[in-house]
Amino acid sequence: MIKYLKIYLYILKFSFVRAFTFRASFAAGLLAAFSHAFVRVIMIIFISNLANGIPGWSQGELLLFTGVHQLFVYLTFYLFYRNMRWLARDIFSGNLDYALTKPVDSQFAVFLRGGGLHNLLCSLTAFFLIAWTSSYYNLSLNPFHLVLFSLFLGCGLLLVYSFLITGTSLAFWFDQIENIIELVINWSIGVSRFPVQAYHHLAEPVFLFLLPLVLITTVPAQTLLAKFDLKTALTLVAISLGAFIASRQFFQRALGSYTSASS
Amino acid sequence: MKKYLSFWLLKWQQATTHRFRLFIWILFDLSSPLLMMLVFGSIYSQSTQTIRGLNYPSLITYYVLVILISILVDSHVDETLQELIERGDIANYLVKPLSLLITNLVDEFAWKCFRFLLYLPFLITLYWILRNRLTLNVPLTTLPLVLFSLLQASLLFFLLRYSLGLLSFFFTEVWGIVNLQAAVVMLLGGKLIPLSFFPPVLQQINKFLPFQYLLAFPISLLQGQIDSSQVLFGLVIQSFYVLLFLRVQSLLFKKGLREVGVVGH
Repeated sequence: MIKYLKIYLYILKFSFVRAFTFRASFAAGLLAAFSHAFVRVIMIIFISNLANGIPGWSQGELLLFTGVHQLFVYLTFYLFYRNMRWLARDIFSGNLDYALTKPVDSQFAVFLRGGGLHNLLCSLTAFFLIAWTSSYYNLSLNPFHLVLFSLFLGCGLLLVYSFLITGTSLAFWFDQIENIIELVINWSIGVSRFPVQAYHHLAEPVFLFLLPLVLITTVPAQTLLAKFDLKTALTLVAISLGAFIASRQFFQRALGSYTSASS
Repeated sequence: MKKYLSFWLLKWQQATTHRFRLFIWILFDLSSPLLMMLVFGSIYSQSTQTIRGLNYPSLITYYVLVILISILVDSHVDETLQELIERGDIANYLVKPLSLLITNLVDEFAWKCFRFLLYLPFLITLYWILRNRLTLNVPLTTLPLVLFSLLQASLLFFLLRYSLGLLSFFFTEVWGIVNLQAAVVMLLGGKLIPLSFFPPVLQQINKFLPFQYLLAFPISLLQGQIDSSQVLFGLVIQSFYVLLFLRVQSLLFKKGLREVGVVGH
């Protein structure tokens, strides 16, 4: 475990070096991340002003929810986006050999090679939004809830990671499908942009289909707002762990189809 | 003309190479508007009233039109240009009797026609599922105006993205600027939420900006939500921005050529 932590710290260090070597790219990334975040906040403000907004969520709570969502988005992009794209590209080009021949777990080697540091920096704005909203709208946050919040956010990230592993593993059988990463991320971000109450009116099959992704941000945000619901939280934990185990098996099976540069 | 027809055919061949990839893009494009339809369902389910002039069927129609118009209007020409300039492949266009603008325009329209045909079964299915909720009523007399505004919107989107792509002559990374533009178009173009949900002041300012003429304006024409004076005003502003960006791209191209350095192989 310590060995993996050390490797990850080296990767993080390399991300810093890379970001400050290619400063224009870093600045472009910051601009892109900020602009999309700004648009999401504006949209939520407009929606919360319409009629009664989302049932059961005041404007302040919705803004705090948006802060949690931003944090989830930035961490998803930081942790997974580049790695998944690199993996899809390496499967296509046959360069995956370099990752597989390293003396570490193959899944760790291919999925945690580095990330866009601008997203990690932008996550500070999400913390700022959460802090500002809780202060402006008098929403009290307590340390115990913050610990639980981190745990559930981690579960949400694990769930998206599992979906991404599964989707990207399809590249072992189909050529040029790195856009599946965009699809999975777009769906995860899109569905989790609104709390579960925004989907309650839907027919049960549609609701259950969307539920895992909706819980990614609803559970952490509810925890922060002291609206913690044990049943919903346990559902998220169970789905995340189940999805992770299933996706790991799927990845190992897909890896069996890899035939190096000749694939 | 014949040489550009070859580019058209080539684009269609390229487009059909990776079919699974195309299918994923379709799901990607459909996801956002469909999700917004679902979310607004919860807001409308609390009251049967009209919100800012839109009832729920009009809103569903709006998002179906967002999907349709986006297929016909969206452009990613900036990515092509970035690649051409970064790799130095732009030299191929400079030494051949080809116009970079027209070649890319032909490419773009070939792709849009192909894309429309590809999406047609999905659009028909969507229409069939939502047929009882759609409130589309386009008088035949406004149809030429709708087509004209669509053509202008498509040209405007192309020229906007083309100009951004040409910035690659001057900057090593333009994807940040392109992303900023994409975020602004999503919001002010009406892709995320209808413009009538915006505060009145922002709606007034937005009338003079190019963004709503890319998407929201053709949609409001199709939904018959604006009177003849607003239609005329919209078409004039749209034409103005088409001409403006035509000039902008021409200036950027001329200036960019002075900056470009291509390494020989």
